[in-house]
Amino acid sequence: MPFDFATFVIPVWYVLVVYALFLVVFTTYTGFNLYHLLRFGAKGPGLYAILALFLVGTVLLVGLTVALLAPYDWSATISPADTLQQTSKGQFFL
Amino acid sequence: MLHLDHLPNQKADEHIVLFLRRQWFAWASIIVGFVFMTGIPAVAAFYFWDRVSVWLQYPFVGPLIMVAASIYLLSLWLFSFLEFTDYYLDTWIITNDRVINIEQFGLFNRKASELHMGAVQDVTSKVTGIIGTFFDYGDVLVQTAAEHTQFKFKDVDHPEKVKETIIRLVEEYKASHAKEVVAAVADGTRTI
Repeated sequence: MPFDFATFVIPVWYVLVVYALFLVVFTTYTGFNLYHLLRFGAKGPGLYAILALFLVGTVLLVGLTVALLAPYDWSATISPADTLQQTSKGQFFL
Repeated sequence: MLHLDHLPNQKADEHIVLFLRRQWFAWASIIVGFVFMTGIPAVAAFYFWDRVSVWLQYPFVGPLIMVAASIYLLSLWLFSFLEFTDYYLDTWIITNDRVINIEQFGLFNRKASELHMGAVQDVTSKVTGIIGTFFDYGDVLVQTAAEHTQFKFKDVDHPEKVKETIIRLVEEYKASHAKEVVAAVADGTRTI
């Protein structure tokens, strides 16, 4: 079946794959960071405050990004042909 | 976890005299960097909101911008905290018996070394620049008899006082050690 650019569409959820891959790296490094603080940090209220700040901040920021991404219709598709046509008409950057 | 009340190989009469980290400029610069790097795009988005709000409504460009912004924000948070961890785990512990030097280089490189007070030959404090002089912070170099063994406490508060404290501890250590030797010779348990 020959490739037809006019009918070719990209699902919007592909963008979420990039976000998911980033979250894997983010979680891994967060784990490394927590391990280092717990393993080598000097025991005391300062360390516990830093751990709490890091964990609360991380949960809040991840929650914020999820809340910002949630309203989009991720099942939609984008047609590059239509997008190029709109861009050539100057409709993309208003 | 490092227990300050129970250091590794701690002697019965050993106690911590100084616990040092780089001074507050080190972590303040991380916070300023984080605020600056999040603030600039936020201000730019606010200033051009009439355009940005339209872009965010596009079915593909909107999610793309939002995912990019999310990745940027989370990356900044993570890198800032990794930098903070690097700062936080760099510590210098001075007891009445030894100097412990712990340095963290990134996440996967860590160097811990110690030096007994008896091996200290020279202690130097160094304050450079207007800011260092004004806020009284700088480096302290602890040199041993071995040519290449040198501990460097980077950007610590009150370097002159730290130097004086180490010199006093070295003198006390050597004096008590000399007394022990004299007592041992007198007892006949040791010969000269």
